[in-house]
Amino acid sequence: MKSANSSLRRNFIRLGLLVVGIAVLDVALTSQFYRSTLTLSLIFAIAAVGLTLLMGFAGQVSIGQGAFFGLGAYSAAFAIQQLGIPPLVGLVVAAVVPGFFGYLIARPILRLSGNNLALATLALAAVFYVVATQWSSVTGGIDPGITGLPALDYFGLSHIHVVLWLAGICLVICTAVALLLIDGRFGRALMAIKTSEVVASCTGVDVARTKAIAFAIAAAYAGIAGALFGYFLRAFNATSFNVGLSIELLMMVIVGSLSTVWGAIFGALAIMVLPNLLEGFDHAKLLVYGLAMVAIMMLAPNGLGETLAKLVTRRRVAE
Amino acid sequence: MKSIVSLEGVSKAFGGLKAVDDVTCSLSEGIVTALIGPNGAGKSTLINLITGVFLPTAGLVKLGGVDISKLPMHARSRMGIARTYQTPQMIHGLSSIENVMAGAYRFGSHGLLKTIFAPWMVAKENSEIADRAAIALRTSGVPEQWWDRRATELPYGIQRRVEIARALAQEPKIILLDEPAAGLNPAETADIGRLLKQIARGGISVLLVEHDMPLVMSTADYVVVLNFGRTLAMGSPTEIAANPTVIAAYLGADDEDEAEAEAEECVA
Repeated sequence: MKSANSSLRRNFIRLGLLVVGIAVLDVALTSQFYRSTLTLSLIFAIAAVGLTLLMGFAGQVSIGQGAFFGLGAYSAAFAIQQLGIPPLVGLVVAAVVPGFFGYLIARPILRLSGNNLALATLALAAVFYVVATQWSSVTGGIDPGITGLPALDYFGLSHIHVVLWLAGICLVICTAVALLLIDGRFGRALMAIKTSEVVASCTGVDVARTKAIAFAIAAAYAGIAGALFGYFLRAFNATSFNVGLSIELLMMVIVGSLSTVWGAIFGALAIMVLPNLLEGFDHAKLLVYGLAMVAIMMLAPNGLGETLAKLVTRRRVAE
Repeated sequence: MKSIVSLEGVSKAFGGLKAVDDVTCSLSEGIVTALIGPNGAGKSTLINLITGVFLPTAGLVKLGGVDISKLPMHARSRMGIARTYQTPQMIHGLSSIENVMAGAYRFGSHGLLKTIFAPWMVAKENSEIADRAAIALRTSGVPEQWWDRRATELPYGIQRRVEIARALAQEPKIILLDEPAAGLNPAETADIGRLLKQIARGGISVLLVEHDMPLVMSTADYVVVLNFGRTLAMGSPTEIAANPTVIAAYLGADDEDEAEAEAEECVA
C-alpha cells in the first residue's frame, strides 16, 4: 500500500532528524547542566514511547510504569555489580527482566479496565516502592542504595557524552521498533482492541495475549530507561522510583500525544526541560502538573503536542 | 447443501430469562439465511453465541461439524467466522483500507520478535495484506477514493461496506450480519442485498439478521423466525410469508388480513 509505506518512510526520515538533532545539541550545549537535562529527556522519552504503545494505541492505562523503570535500574545494577556483566549487556537484562515480569502480571491485571486498571497499576507502583526500600540486601534500601556503578568512558569520551549517546541510540532503536510494530498487524490489533475488544476478537486477535504483550513492551522500554538512568547517575536509591515517577511518565504521554510516538518524545522533552528552565518552580511542581493535566485532558484530549501540531498545520492550510 | 454452522439444541439463559431456548438450525454454504423475529426475540444473542461473545448454557454450536461451543472468540474467528455490527464499528485512527487489513489479521505472521529481528518484513507483509484488503474492498463496492480516508469519517453507507469488506478479508466460511440495512436508504439497502447474494454465491454462508422485510424477502434463500428465544418457523421466504403463526407473531395478530397482504406484497 502506497500510503502506509510512505508514512513509514516519513517516520524514518524523522528518526534521522532526531539523530542529527541529538548530535547538534551535543556539540552546541556547553553547559553540563543542559547536557544532563537533554540526557534525562532522552532516557525518559524511551519509557514514554513504550507507554504510548500501551496507552495511546492499545488504550490500556498504566500509572505503574515507575515500577518497571526501577526494576530495570536494579536489574542492570545487579547484573553489573553481582554478576560481572558488561553495562551494554546489562541493558538487555534491564529490558528482559521487566518485560517478563510485566507479561506475568499483565494477564491478571489487564482483566480490569478503565479506573480499576489505573488503580491496580498505581498500586503496583506503590508496592514496588515499598519493596525497593525494604529489600536492602539487593537494592541497598534508601541508604546507601546502589552506589559505585562504573563510569562509562568508552572511546576516550567522558561519561556524560557516552550516556547521552547511549540514551540517544536506545531511543532511536526503541522508537524504530515501536513504529514498525504500529505499522504492522500488531499495531492494527492494538488499535482494534482500543476501539472494541469484541471487534478485535472477531477479527482473530487474541485480546488477552496481545494486551499482555503490549504491557510487556511498555515494561521493557521503561526498564531500559531505568537502567540508563542508573548508569547516568552511577548511584541511586529507592526514592527515585516513587509513585511520582509513574505520574511523571504518564504526564509525558498525555502532554505529548496519545496517537503518535513522536508525541511521547515531545512530552518527555517538555516535562524534563520546562521545570529546569523555570527556576524556583520545584515546590509548586506537583500543583502545576496537576492543573496542567486537568487542563490538557479537558482542552486537548489527544495530547497537547498533537493538538498544537494540528493547529499549526490547519493554519498553514488556511494560509 | 453443505451445512457450515449448525446449532443443536442451543440455549442461553441470563438468570431466569431464556434469551435463546433450545434452538436447532443449520446455516448452509452458498445461501443467504435470514434470521427474523420481533425485538427481544433472541436474534443478537444467537449471533453472540455463534461468535463466542456468550457461551451457551446448553446445546452445541458446530462449525463444519466441529464442536466450537467452548472456544474463545478469536479462535472461532480464525476458523472462519466473521461478523458485522448493528452500528458500524470502524477501528479508530485507521483508514478504511487499514481497517480491512485488520480483518486479514489471521493471514499475517508478524509479531514482536519478527519486528525486532526481521524489520524489513513489515513492509512486505503489509503490502501482501493490503492486496487482500483491496480485493475485499472492490468486492464490497467501496469506491477507491475512500480507501485512504479515516474510516470513522466516512458516510454511514460506506462504513457498512467497509465493514463487510473487513469481514470478507478474513476469508470466512460464514459471515453474520447484524442489521446491515439499518440507517440506509432504500437504494442503498437494495445494493447491500445484491452484495450479500453475490457473497453467498461465492460459496460463503451468509446469516442476515434484519428487520427490513423487503430486504429479507428479496435476499434470503431460507428464513428462520425466532420468537421469545424459540424457533417459530423455518422455510423459504414464500413459505414464511404465508405462515399464519409467523404473521400472527411477527406482523401483529390483530389485523391478520392486512398483515398477510403486506407480507404478500413483500414477496412480490
